[in-house]
Amino acid sequence: MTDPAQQTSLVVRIAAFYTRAVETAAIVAMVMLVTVAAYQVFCRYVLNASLFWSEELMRYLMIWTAFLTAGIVYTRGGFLGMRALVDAAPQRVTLVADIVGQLAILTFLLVVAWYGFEFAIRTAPSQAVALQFSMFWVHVSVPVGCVLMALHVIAGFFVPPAHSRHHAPQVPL
Amino acid sequence: MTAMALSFVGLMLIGVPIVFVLGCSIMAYLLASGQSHLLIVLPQRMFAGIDQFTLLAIPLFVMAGNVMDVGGLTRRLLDFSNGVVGRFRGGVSLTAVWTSLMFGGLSGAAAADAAALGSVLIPDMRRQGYDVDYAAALIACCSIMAPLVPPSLAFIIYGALSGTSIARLMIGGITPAVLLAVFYTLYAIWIARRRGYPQLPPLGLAAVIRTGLAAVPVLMLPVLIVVGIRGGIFTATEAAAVAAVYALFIAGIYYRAAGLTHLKKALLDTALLSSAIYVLIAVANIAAFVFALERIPQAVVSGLFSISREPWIVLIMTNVVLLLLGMVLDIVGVLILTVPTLVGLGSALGMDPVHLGVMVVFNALLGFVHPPVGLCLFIVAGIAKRPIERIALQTLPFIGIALIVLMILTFVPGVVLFLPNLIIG
Repeated sequence: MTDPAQQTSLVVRIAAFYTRAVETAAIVAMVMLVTVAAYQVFCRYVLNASLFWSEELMRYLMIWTAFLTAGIVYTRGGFLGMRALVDAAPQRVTLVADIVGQLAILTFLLVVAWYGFEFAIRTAPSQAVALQFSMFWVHVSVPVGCVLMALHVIAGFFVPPAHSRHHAPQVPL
Repeated sequence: MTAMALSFVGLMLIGVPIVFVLGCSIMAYLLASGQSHLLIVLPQRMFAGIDQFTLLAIPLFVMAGNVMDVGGLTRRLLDFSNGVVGRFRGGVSLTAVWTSLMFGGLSGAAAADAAALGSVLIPDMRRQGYDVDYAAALIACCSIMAPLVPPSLAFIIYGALSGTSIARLMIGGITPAVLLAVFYTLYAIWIARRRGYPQLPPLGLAAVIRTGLAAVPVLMLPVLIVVGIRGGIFTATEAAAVAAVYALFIAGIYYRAAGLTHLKKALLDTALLSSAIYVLIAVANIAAFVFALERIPQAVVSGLFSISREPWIVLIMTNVVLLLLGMVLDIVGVLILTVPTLVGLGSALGMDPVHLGVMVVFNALLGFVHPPVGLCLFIVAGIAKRPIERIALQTLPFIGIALIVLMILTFVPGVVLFLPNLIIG
């Protein structure tokens, strides 16, 4: 049907589109976060009238941002582990160790995604206190994040994530 | 329990990221102990762990730091400390110490500190004839002061995991950081005299005042935070919001240095780093649940107490365990693994939670500079293009100094508690 080269380019194009979309969403979310946070402080200390919805909105916004970008964080090596031993081992040992590790991560993520979806459905009847929408839309962030991370782990079988390469890991703290 | 321990050690050794080591071993525990009906607890606890208003301080403070950094403000701190301490023998090395301390008020992150200052000061010191390994070791060891000064992510994470007041923790970290800077300064002066490192002509009072004024907007950030949270005017989260807006204002309008592209990158980096921390805290919250279920903290505390009931021996043992953990894990890893247990230990010893928190964070920070995983060591080695082992050798005296400070703050609680008690009451 289609030739393999074209297929990969389609996969690459979709991946690039997805990355761009998530990154843009994350930037917009950060702008919203700082705007709402500043508005809350302004209302509370300058106008002396506390907002009832700002805190809830910020919490859910940040949780969604965290899970939405978690896959990208994984691929960029944002989750650190103890690499000293495997990096010192022969390359074939490292390869096997990484595959075993990635399978374990995949199992964990899929289990959490499965039960996370059940959790979201079970809590669907309850409503967010201030914003008045179903908690399903908040809780579903957990399984969505786990599925995204799982996709990144699978992609990692083909392109190893940064944390498993021979260089210093990225950021935290 | 065995399944949990085995999968934990196994996955850790093969280099799986700590957050998944924790998640997988908890899952293995629930399955092996026939409690698979509890699996639904995983997403529920993960969500509950990050559904906290306090944690919003993380993205907001990270944003403040990232935006300030885009604004090119590090240079101003460097010029200012150079103006003040650059005139003494070994001036560049002293500049490194004090800029690091001030830089903490900008980003609160050790890795950022090592990268930003290392890339400027290591070449500077090389030019002036400093031993490059020493220069790199100095930068790496100074970088651990950054997370002790407000705004400190390490303290936010500790506070969120343990339920300790974040404001008090942040202010409690200031004195130990300054103490460390003073001791480093003395050591750097001594080395400079012994090795005859150059002494540059003083810049003059006018230059000091000029660079000082230029640095004021940056130095105002930590002051704003401390003043903001004083007496509970602001919560830590609200202080973070003010800091973020202030940083955007300063970098974007006052300095006009932050272009839109850089700003977007700063915001994206903020989201990604915050996401990494959020996922860690989410998974740590399942761990806390299982630890409590299995009464692990109690077992560790009674185990320690069975060795000795003397508080000072227990404290020394705790510090040694934390140092060893810091050898193999990054600071967040150390914190999420040990905090549930340490809180139990602290109350058994009758320790002030803020004192305990500062001690634990200080101790875990040392992991940044000792092998095999010391992140800041990797960063400076990359900049200096020197083997890690050579630099690690030069860090030993600095680590010794840090250990002395650690002992002081462990056994003299006043060093930590004086400022929070004075400022917050």
